[in-house]
Amino acid sequence: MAAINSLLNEIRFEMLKVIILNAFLDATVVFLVLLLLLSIFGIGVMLPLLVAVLFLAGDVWWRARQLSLKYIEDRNPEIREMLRTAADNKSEENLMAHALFADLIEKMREVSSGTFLDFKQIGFKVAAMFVLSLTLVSLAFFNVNIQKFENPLPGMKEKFDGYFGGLVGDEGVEGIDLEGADDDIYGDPSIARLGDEDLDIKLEQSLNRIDFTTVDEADPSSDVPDSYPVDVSAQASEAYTGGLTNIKDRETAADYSQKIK
Amino acid sequence: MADTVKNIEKLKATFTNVTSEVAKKIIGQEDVMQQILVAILCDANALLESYPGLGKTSMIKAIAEVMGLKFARIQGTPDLMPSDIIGTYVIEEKDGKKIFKFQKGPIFANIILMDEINRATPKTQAALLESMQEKQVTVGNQTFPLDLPFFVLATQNPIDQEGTYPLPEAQTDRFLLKILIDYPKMDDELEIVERYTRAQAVAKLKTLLSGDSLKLLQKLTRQVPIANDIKRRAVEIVAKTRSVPDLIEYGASPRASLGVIMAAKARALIDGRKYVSLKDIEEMAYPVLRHRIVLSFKAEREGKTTDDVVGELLK
Repeated sequence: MAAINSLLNEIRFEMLKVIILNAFLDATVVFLVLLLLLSIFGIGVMLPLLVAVLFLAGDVWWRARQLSLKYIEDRNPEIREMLRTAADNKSEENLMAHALFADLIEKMREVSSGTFLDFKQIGFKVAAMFVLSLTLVSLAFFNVNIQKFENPLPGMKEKFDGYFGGLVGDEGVEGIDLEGADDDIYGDPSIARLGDEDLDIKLEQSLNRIDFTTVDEADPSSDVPDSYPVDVSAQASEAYTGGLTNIKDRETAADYSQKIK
Repeated sequence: MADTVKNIEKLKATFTNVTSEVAKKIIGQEDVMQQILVAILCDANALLESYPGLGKTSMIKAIAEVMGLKFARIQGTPDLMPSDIIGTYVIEEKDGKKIFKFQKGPIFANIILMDEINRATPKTQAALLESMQEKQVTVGNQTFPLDLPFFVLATQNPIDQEGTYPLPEAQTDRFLLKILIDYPKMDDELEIVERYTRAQAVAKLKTLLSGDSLKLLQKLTRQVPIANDIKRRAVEIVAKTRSVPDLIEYGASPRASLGVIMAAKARALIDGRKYVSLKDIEEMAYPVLRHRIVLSFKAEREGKTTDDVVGELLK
């Protein structure tokens, strides 16, 4: 009985390995497809990677739930009934059951892990990965970016900008060549102010690190009111006529001002 | 343990040898031979139905010889009495005293061939069926256990039903299998003619098994593992016989479910397998069910046989 339990556990472990391999391949294909689609819109690698990782976890969980001896039985019909009988009678302690277990262990030795794999499906997935990778390299080589053309999804750039590390090709300030630039391009450090307070900070090109613990709150400026006046109004009689000389035009302007009061 | 497991590997060869040895006397009829072996391994009884002259008696005698079992043949007739089968008390003189001594009847053997059981009266049939079920006989107020292993192989003739007492359904249910023996094939019949018309008698058969080894085989038969879904399939087939009133008037009892599974186990063992296959269930459903179902008028009017109906249930 210990032998058959060990065999069944071994089979389950082999099946788990196959599940992880299949899920990994699926997740890679998902990643590449997303990367391809989103790279056209200039979106970075993080979003596809996140989706692929979530897909991998979900796929492994779903496949593990479906995990059953049926998977092996379907691929090895010659041992189907034997395997199922052994699984259903694993607690039996008699000669025939032991003979069956011994026979099954012998037969399972002939059944390699390879028979659990669907090589056709794996081949198809690997081929898909190859084609997708090739397409991605080609897109990068020709620098295909839909943003250089008319943006089909207006506002997409602004929406994703800042969430996933910015857009591809947007590492520097637009229109400024940052090649070989040093900190001096940001001007004299004494210029940097926050409100009325002089700041002693250093801006770095790649890492926008500011140690705000060293920064004091700004004083409210005397020439900036705390609140805006609410009694702002205008008299219709004093409506702006814009130097219109024509009486009709002036009347029209006055009438308009009256209406919008 | 390891040696016993290895010996189980040799079981198929054992059964092949038994069949080959019987085949020295009986030509063809391999299926019948297998089904008789199934009944013996299940420690059950079988009903054989065939036309006269197809070698039923010779086959059973040959099986008994090869298995090293004591064989007895009883011819069913209307005047056959239970005491003719079971035995009776006779007066015996011993030391000047007259005492009653039980004289055992032919039922005290291992394999009983009850020829034309339907010609015996219901009273005699009942006595035989009781011994089949209980493996013991009671005479007066004394009970005698029968020699084990004990099997009854009863035959029926499908023709010439006049003056017969057909077994009621309740009694046929006690037979595990109903085995149909058909006419031999042309080549087999030629071989029979060739072999039995020579001056030399057929060689004596070798004894390959014994009563004890047969008991061990019966024990192993019960131990053959069966998968749950296959067990369920067997029960479903039997239950289905009770839910098709347009084809079957009376379906099979749960005893038939037991019978199908046991017979399938025995078939697997004969085949050298250590597990029951779905094919075993489907093969054994025919002999187990064919005498346990009563066809409806509609099915009979359409000319269907019980095997046709069982075949439809298996689809």
